[in-house]
Amino acid sequence: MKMKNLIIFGAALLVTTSGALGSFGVSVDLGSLQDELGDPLVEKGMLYLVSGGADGVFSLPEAGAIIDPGSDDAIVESWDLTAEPSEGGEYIVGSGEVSFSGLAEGNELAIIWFPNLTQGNQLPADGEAYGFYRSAAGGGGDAWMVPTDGTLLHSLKFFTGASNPLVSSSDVPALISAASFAAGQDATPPVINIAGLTAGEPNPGTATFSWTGSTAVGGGFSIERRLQGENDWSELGSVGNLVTSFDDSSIGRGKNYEYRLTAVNGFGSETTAAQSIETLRSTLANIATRGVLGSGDQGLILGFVIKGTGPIDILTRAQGPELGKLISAPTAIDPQMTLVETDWTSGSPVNVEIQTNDDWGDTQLAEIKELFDPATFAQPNTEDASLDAGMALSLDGTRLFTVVVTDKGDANGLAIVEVFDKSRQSVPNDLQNRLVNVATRGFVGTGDERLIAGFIVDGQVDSKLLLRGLGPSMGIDGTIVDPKITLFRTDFTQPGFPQIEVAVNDNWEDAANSGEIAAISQEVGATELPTGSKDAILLVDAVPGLYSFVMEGVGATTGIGLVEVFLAD
Amino acid sequence: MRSIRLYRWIFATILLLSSSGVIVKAQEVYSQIVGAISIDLPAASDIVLSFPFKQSAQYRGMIESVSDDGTVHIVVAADSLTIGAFDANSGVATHYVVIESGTQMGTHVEIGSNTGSQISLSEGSATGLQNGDEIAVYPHWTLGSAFPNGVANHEETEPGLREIEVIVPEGTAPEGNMIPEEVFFFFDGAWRGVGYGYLNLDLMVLEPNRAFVIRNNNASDAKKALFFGEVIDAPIAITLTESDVYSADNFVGLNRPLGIAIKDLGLTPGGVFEETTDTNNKKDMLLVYSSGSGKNKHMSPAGSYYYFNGAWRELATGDATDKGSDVIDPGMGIAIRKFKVDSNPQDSSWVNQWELPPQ
Repeated sequence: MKMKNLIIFGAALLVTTSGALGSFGVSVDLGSLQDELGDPLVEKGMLYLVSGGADGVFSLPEAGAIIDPGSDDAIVESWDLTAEPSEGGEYIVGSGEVSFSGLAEGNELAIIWFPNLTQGNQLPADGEAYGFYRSAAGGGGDAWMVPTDGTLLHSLKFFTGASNPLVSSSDVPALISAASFAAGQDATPPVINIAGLTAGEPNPGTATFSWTGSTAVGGGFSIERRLQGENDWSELGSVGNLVTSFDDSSIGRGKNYEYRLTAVNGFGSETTAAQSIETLRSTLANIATRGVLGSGDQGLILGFVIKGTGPIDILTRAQGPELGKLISAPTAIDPQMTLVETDWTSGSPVNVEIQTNDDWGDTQLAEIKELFDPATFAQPNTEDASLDAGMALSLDGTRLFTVVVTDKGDANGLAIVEVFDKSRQSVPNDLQNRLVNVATRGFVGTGDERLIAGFIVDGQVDSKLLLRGLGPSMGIDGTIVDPKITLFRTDFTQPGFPQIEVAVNDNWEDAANSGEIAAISQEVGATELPTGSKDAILLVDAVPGLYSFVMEGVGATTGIGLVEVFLAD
Repeated sequence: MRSIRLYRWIFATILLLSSSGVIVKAQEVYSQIVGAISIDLPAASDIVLSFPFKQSAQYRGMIESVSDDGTVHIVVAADSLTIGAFDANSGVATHYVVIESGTQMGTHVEIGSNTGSQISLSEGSATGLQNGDEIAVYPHWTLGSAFPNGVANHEETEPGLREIEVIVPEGTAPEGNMIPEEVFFFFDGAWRGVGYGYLNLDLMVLEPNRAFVIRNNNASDAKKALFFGEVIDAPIAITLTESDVYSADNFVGLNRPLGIAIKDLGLTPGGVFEETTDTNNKKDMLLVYSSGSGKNKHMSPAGSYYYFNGAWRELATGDATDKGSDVIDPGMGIAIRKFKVDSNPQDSSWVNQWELPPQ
């Protein structure tokens, strides 16, 4: 072949122990070379391909020596970058003939780059800057190991985009993936500080990290996060070696996160121990539904779901006579309630009756009183011997309950059914038990007989709530055909505490955020609604406060309806 | 799997008429034969190749005189050449002469320059050249002319992670070694080379009768390399090198478009291929490589032949089996291993003579 530019460097063939004249060819894709500031360095310095020898340990350069002469390392090949044309600042260098003498198949290979050495001066000075790069995984090319004797071409590759192999702890992001000038320093462990997430601060928001005490010259930092209890880390992002902070703007509510930071450069990586933070979540402190306590299907049925681990104290009440002291409309005379748990352990729902109560003071007077305000938002009953019903429940686990309320007096009057969560003062996370769904089925009338659910968002941060007013899709006779729901928030900053309308919906698919509604509905396990349904749904970010959720029929129609509140984060 | 297509055109007799009433001549004119061969490049493979064709000759004629003033000058018919058409480019020959008859029959010699009637060579010797020797001038194959859109029309997306490489090994290497002299790949519309940066290497010359390797790094996709050009049935002479340091593998190939039986290569008898007389101490070897998958074929040839007791033998079948009818497929590169000599290593010239089989 007629070659105008031979690229062979003059490694002489030497006789190996077997007597054969071993050799192999090598090409190295270096990508771009940078200094410690990330600025490109082109046509500068000497590059050495070195073997770590049988011990697999690379000796680092020292004054007067590229490799420690006392080690078993060897310089496999070298290139003068001032004589190597680059391609847009990226180098692919090659050697036609590398003697296999002194090498053994499988010896690890690495690149040492001295930006300030030259062909005429290849002796590092004391403190000479250099970069050191190696790859265990090959970067998409051949393994960074001495190949079989006689290999025609061994192609080494650095920094293959998404699967950068520089370190094994995780992929090195593109930001760090150029071969940078490491100045001969290993990365040292950073000390991570997480700011902006101390208890009491509003969130979701941004967690701001900073770190100190670390060097990753020529490299950078990779920030990872996982939920407590999970095995796998997810990389949030990466920053260069001069950056010492990072903002995590993707934190969710009520999460226990673990973070770690990896300082990485061409020498390797150093990873901090995990550091945990807890983000805040508000709770559904209660729901109270007022409606007509009729007979049969027109009774009031309250459902609630608890989710998490550990105990949760719940108060549930059905108030008729007590309500009658507050309103002039006819109320239920003698409510009674039955607690039923729906057990899914067999794979299909099995309803199991847990507990009944007719008059709240009969059996659990003390326990119930303990759950009155301030333990919960439940205002105390005015009479211990009233005919109102109530239960104090100590529950745990993730479970679904239904409270069926009827009126022994069959007065067809108004009643209020309620459920309260005692844990409202805590800062629950994903692992702590909480109310995640409350629902009440009742008759939706007109005027005072509209179905009204009141609930409290308790805490320091807003909550994403899915509010549903169902009728047509309930699958039973006598449902309201076209419900409409309106959410009000009581404004305690104004005289008289007016109720401010927050949102209204007639048909859920008309909502601007109907797509998100569908997605969230699936996440929280809400029943799927048919296309074109006239049910009403709201998805809101509710600041802490007292809310009323009114369900009525469009055109003053009436029928059975279901109001639901889901904690959607 | 290979396919071969040969085209022969015999042009009709042409009547040359003269209005002045001179004698009318009838002449039968033949075109050169051209062909094309497709060679499989299996996934994850090195295929050792050589060009089965040359580019079309740009001159054919006879030597009218030869002189040597340090440069060999060949004089041909007056005004038969385009001045400067064969000039070297920046010292690299673009064309070469093939001596097709005479004592230098088959020899390929680089051209330095030319006038309208003289070809000045950049190498070679005038010894043995005589008036009347037939010659032909061919352009070199270059990367761009042989594979204008890359091998198998493949263009790399990442030059550091090449899927198809043309690896040109050094012409001679110690036994069992194959040393890359150049590594080429097609990227961004042109040929590039390892160590060349972004330089356009479309004009990089690939020498005739030397083997090269196409490496398919794709682990799952096979490719096909298409070769085309002019069929050469003139003698071909190839220089073989030996060493007193090691047994030398000469990586060569013949510009022949059809398979050739080993016994028809012209390696023996004649001295260029040392016959084995002691099977425990084999002399020269002919190494043939597999066309299947696998890289680094030079480390494990598919066939290792030696000449013993009046016939070709192969290592795998032993000293008693005549393997002279084994065929080297067209387009495949081979190695001639010249065994280590004690002293005074000499180059030798292997001349292969070949004809198209009768149709």
